[in-house]
Amino acid sequence: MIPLSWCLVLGAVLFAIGFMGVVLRRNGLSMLLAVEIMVNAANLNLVAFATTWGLVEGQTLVLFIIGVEAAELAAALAVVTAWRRLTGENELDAAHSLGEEHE
Amino acid sequence: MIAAVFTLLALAAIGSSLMTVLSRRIFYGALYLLVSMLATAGIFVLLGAEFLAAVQVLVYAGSVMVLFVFVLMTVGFREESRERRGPGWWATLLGLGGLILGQLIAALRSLDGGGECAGVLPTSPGEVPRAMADILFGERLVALEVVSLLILAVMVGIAALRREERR
Repeated sequence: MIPLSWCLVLGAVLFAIGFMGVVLRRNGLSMLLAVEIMVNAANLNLVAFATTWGLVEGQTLVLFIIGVEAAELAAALAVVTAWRRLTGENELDAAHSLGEEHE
Repeated sequence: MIAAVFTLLALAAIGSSLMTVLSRRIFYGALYLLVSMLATAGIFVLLGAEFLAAVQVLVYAGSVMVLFVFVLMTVGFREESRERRGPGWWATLLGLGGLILGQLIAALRSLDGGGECAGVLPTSPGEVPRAMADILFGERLVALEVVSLLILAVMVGIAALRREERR
């Protein structure tokens, strides 16, 4: 049997890795990949708690998270590629104005 | 036995997640992320959440990664330049990662005991998915419909974005 703390430590390590990726990578798509890692760590924690305490609601919540996260990724991919095509820039550091252009 | 499999899967998940963050080419990063997702699905199976493992493989490893790789191939991002990663970069990486990790572990230590996480749920086949369906289509039906509305809104938003871009 697996102690709960192992799962939680694994989730913490994965979250830290994803956080480092979001902070240190400058490419929009790399940052999205790192966000995926963080969401995955959160899901892992939810499943661990849900199975420890025998609650099915926790697993249902993970289903919702997966659905919302897929929608978020689709929207973010559209924004990143549109921005890339408009400006020709590779890295999100160069993004100053995502709103309307002001003359 | 289960502990050994868990350790193996956990090491695979941690290693491939590290490679996702560190690899210079985004395509390799996406492939490593796929390995990480599959390892997490394996851990879900060990924890007794077989249905979620199936959803993880179908949605993440299936649709999300296919979408990602498709965008990567059509848009084609450059790889990260080499001179970016000086000692300062590595110091920030280790410092920030250690800080966050230390904070999380310190928070975990306040949670005493914990308990065993595998094998507490009823394990007769099909029982957990049935209970989840009862919740999804029973008391959480409104939330489910809100999620489907969200997905519809994202589709419309992407179409509007492309239209704006073409003008």
